[in-house]
Amino acid sequence: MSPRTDHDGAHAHPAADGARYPTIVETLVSRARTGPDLPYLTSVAADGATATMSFGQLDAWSARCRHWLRTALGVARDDVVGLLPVNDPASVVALFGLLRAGAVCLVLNPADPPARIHDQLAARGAKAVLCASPADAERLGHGAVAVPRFERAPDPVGDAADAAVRLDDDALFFGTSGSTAAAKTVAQTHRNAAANAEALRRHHRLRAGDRVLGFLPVHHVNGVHTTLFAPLRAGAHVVLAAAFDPFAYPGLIERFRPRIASAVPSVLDTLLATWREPRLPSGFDYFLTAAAPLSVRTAHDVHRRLGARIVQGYGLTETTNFATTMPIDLSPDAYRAVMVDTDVPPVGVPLFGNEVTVLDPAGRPVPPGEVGEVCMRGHNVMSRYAGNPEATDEAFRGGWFHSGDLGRRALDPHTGRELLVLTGRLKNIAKVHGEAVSLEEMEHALRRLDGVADAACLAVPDPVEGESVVAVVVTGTGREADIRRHLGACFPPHALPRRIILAPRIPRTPTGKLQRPRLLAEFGLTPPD
Amino acid sequence: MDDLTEVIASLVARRLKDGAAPAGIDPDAPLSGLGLDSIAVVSLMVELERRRGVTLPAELVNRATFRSVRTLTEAVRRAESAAGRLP
Repeated sequence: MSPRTDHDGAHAHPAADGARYPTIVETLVSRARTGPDLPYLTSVAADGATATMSFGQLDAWSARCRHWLRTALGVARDDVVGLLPVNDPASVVALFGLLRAGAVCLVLNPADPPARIHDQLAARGAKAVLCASPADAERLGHGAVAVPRFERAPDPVGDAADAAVRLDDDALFFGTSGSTAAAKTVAQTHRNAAANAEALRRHHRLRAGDRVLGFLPVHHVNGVHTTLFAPLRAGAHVVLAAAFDPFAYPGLIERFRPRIASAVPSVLDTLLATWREPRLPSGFDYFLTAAAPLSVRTAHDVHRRLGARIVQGYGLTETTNFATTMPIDLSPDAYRAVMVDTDVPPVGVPLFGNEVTVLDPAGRPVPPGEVGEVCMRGHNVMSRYAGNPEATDEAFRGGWFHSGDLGRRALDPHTGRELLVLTGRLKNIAKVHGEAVSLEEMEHALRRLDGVADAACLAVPDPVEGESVVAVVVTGTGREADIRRHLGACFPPHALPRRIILAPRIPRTPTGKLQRPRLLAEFGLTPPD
Repeated sequence: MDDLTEVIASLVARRLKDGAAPAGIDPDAPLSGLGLDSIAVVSLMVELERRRGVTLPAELVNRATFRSVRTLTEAVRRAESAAGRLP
C-alpha cells in the first residue's frame, strides 16, 4: 500500500463514514440560537471569583474577535495563529474567534520558555500570536498581542460570516513534548474536533443542563476538547477552574454540583489527601480521568473514601483527545471487579467514530489477550504531523495510526465487553504529566554538551507526575547547574529531569546499547510498571 | 535551622527541579514561588504526615498552612502538640 492509501485508511470508519458532523463553530451558532441565555462557561479565577458566559455571549464575543482578527491583524482563512491560552473567558473567546475566522489555532503552553514558543511559531509560519494576558504578550515580545476584552467591544458592522471551512481543513495545531529540534506538531482538522465532541457526548450521555467541572489547562487537548468542545456539543454547562487548587477544589464540587468532574489520577490522589471530611453532592456521577495510568490503589481509595467511581479513558493528541473510555453503566459488581479487585484497570472500549485494534510487528491483529501495539483509525485520527511527512508516514502504516503504546484486548467476563488494557510502550519514553518525553532525545541533547562523555535517561515512577526522568551523566568538567541550563534551553519545563546523577561510567552492551533495566537497578531506581 | 524545619526544607528541595540544597531554601519564601505546584505541595504533606506520624486536622489543611516552609513547620508543631506530643 502506498503511504497515501494508508493515510486515507486511517481516517475512515465504517460505522461513522459519511457522517456529517456540525463543526464546532456551527454547533456554537446553533446553541446560541436555541438557548442564548443558557450558561455555557463559568470560570473560577485563582482567587475564587467567578464569571459566567452564556452561549449567546460566547457567540457574540467570538464574532467580535473574528472581526478584530480580520481587520486589526489581517488574519485570513488558513493562516496559522499562535494562542497562549489560560483557563479564562478571554482565552476561550479567542479560541472560538480563531476557528470562526477559519484560522488554524496553534495552541501553545504559556509556561514554555519564550525561545521555544518562538521556534514553534516560526516552524509553522504563524501570522500572529495571541496571549491571554498583557504580561505574557510583553514577556514574549516580537509583536505578541494580548487578547482584547470583547465583552465590552461594539458588534462589528458588515462582517457577519464565519469562514466556510471544510471538515478536512486544519483547525488546531498542538506541539508534542520533544526537544525544540525534534518536537512534532499534531494537525487536527475540524472533523477531528467535531467527531471527538460527538463521541464524548454519546459516551458520557451529556445533556443540556449537565454540569462538567474541569481545571486541566486549555493549552492541552483535554482542556480544549473534553472541557470546552464536548459540553458545547451537548449544551452542557462547563465550570472551568483557573487551575487545580487542592484546598479549594472540594468547595467547587460542593458549590457547583457537577455530574462529571474531569481530572487526572495524581489529582485524585491529592484530593484524597486534602479532602479530610469528603461528601460528594447527590447527582455526582464520576471522575473522568486520562493522561496517566490509573492505579488500582487510586480507584480503590476513591471508591472507599469518596464513594465515587472513576471512568478511565485513553487517547493521544494524535487521536484528538479520547480513543477509548470505560463504559459508564457498569453494575456495582462489574465496576468493583474491573476497577478495584484487579491488577491494572482497563482503559475501556473504543469511542464512537474510531476503531481500536492491537497489531503485531507485521501489522496483523493479535489474538485476544495477547500484547501488541495499540493502533487506531477513524474520524478522531489527526490528519498528519504538520510539515513532517517522514514522521507522518512512520505513524500511518497499513491503514492504521500507530500509537507506540502496547496493550491487549480481551473479553471481560464481568462486563461482557471487550476492554483494552495498556501494558507498556514500544519506544523509550517517559510519560511526564501524561506527555511523552523521549529519553533518547534527551540523551542526544546531553551528549551535545561540552564535557559530557556519555549520558543515559531513565523513566522512574513519580508521586507527583506519574513518571519523571532521571538523567545519568558522565562528565569530567560539567556541573549539574550547567547541565540543567542546557536542557532547559531545549526542553519544556515539565520534561526536565527530576534528578541528575553524575556517574563515572554508564554500563553498555559490547555493541554500545544502553542497558536501562540494569541502570535502574544500579542506581537504586525502580522501573515503571 | 531546627530539626523539623530542616526535614521540611529537604522534602521541598527533593521536589524542585533546579537541584536546590535544603539549606539554600528560604523558610519564608512562598512554596509556589520556589516552583512547587499544588500537587507537589500535597505529596509533601502526605510524606510529612507519614514520617512524623501526625495528621493535620481539617482546619489546618489550607493554603495558609502551605504558604512557606515556616508556616508549614508551625502547623505541624501545632498538630503535634495537640496530639499530646512534645514539640
